Amino acid sequence: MRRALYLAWQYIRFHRWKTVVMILCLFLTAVLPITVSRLLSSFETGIFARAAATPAVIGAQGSRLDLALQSLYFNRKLESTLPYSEFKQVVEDQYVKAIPIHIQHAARDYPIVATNNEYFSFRSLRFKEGRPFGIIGECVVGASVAAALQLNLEDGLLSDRPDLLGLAGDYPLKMKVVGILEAQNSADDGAVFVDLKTQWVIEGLGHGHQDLESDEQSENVKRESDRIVALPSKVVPYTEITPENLASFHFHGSLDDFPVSAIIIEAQDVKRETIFEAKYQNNDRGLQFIRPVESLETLMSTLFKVKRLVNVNTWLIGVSTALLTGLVMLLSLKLRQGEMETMFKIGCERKMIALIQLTELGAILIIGLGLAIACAFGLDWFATRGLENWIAGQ
Amino acid sequence: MISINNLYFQYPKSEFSIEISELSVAAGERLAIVGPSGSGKTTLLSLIAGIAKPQRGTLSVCGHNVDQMNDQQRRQFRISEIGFVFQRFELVDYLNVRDNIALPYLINRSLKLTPQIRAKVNQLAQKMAIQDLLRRHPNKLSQGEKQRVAICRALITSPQLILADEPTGNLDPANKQIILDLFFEQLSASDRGLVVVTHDMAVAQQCDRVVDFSTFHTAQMGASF
Repeated sequence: MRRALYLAWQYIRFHRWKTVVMILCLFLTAVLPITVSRLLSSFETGIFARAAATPAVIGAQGSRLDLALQSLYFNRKLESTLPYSEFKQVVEDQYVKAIPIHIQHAARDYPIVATNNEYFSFRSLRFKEGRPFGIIGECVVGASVAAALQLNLEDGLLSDRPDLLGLAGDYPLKMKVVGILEAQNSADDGAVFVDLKTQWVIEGLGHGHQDLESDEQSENVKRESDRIVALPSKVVPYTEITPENLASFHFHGSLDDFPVSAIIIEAQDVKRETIFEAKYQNNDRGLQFIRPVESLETLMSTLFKVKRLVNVNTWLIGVSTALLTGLVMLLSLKLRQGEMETMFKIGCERKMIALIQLTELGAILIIGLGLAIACAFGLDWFATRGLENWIAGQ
Repeated sequence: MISINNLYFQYPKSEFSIEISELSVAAGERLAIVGPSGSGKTTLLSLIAGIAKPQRGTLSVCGHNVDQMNDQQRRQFRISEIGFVFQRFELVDYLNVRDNIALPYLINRSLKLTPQIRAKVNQLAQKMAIQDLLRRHPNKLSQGEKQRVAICRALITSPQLILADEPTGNLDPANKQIILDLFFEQLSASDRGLVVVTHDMAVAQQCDRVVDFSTFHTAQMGASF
């Protein structure tokens, strides 16, 4: 075998360009189906693992898939929301765990996910540094956000202004980074977590400013009969929440009416979940109950149709490549007939001649397919999250 | 060294046959076979080497009854007793000169490529004046250089008998004489037998005996003596 390997290696080395072309043909034929298969498999595993870890979600009526994708991947801003009072109502049920999710804004293009600290334990997220958020204005960033924006603890992170041209619009809020999560290879890596009140402040539902009744503000306010009216151009809201100005932050209106995008539900048992489902499926409050796994199956079935198409195409290309490779090998053998005859005449066994040829072919196959597999795994490693985001964005 | 009696051979699915009633070559003798194309000269070399098996008659080469051997035995006989020199050199294009000379050791499990053999490759290359070409591949060699490599390959296993088929057929006159001198010098040094098929009278004249196939045998579509 060592002799056959040596001779095969010499042949491959001498005819390197021919070998490279054959390896490329095999590589190009194999790399697409292997990569697609690998990526879909990883994606399926990842997306279903996350969906399976999110038993149920309550949201406003609308697209079930959008609601599932938002509560799992934070990629979409839902037009319809449900009132905070619904969350309070669910929390009162002692048999379910409820976690709010509210997504309306972003910070440097990373979604700001308003939730509560239970979310971290629910997703088994570990802190690389720092702690969960404690007061409004604090945030916890995912590993990708921290890496991309080079954020450290105590750094400030400004929320994006939804409308850059709005003259009287919302002010961006400078949030303080109090925690950095370990990388999870999930959507959590690319999110900025805050509590609901922080998000509501960013939305303009709450704010903080100097005391209007103080002497310092006398020139900035207009006193009417029963109230004090601030002159907007004079009284500027705080854009950063600090221990000094925290007390001045307040919300106008009832918190019960404030928006929440979705509520993740984890029931104690199947029975409790079924009761919950029945309660929310037939309601006149414009709410819906979904199981993310079921909603994502619709998405996956579309993907698998595409995969089946790729598979059929692959088979056709594979067969044609195999035929062409066979033809090239036959022509090569014909060209090398003299060489093989010479070897036979000087005492080489026919099976040794065959072994040399097979070793050459085997080496080309192994290198071509090996490269395709390595490439597929490499792409998978780099692209899994990108593909998830791309699909979630569709 | 070679003894042929009432030998008959016909290629499968071919009307060509060769029949030789008697031919012998003494040890160390150099025999030239001349004759027109298609007269069976190359076929005789194949029979002597055990590549083709006669249908009738006896064929003894270097003390081996080649006509009674099976394929495996004839292959082993070729490795140990025969050295080949071809008209078209038949070098392996992807091996360098060193590996081409050592080729019998690279393709036969019964031969071991020892340091002594590697030294012998160098010695032979030196004697044939190609010691500077050992790393080159055949596509970088002249016709004359290729034939020198082919002669080294034929000699590397120290065979008792060299079979040469038109060894000067692809050489220019200047190269031909140099290579013939080197070839016969090597044969004389080792007292090996030689059967050479040639159209070239310069080659035939350097041999001990010349057999002309055009008068030596009769054949159906070819030769018979």
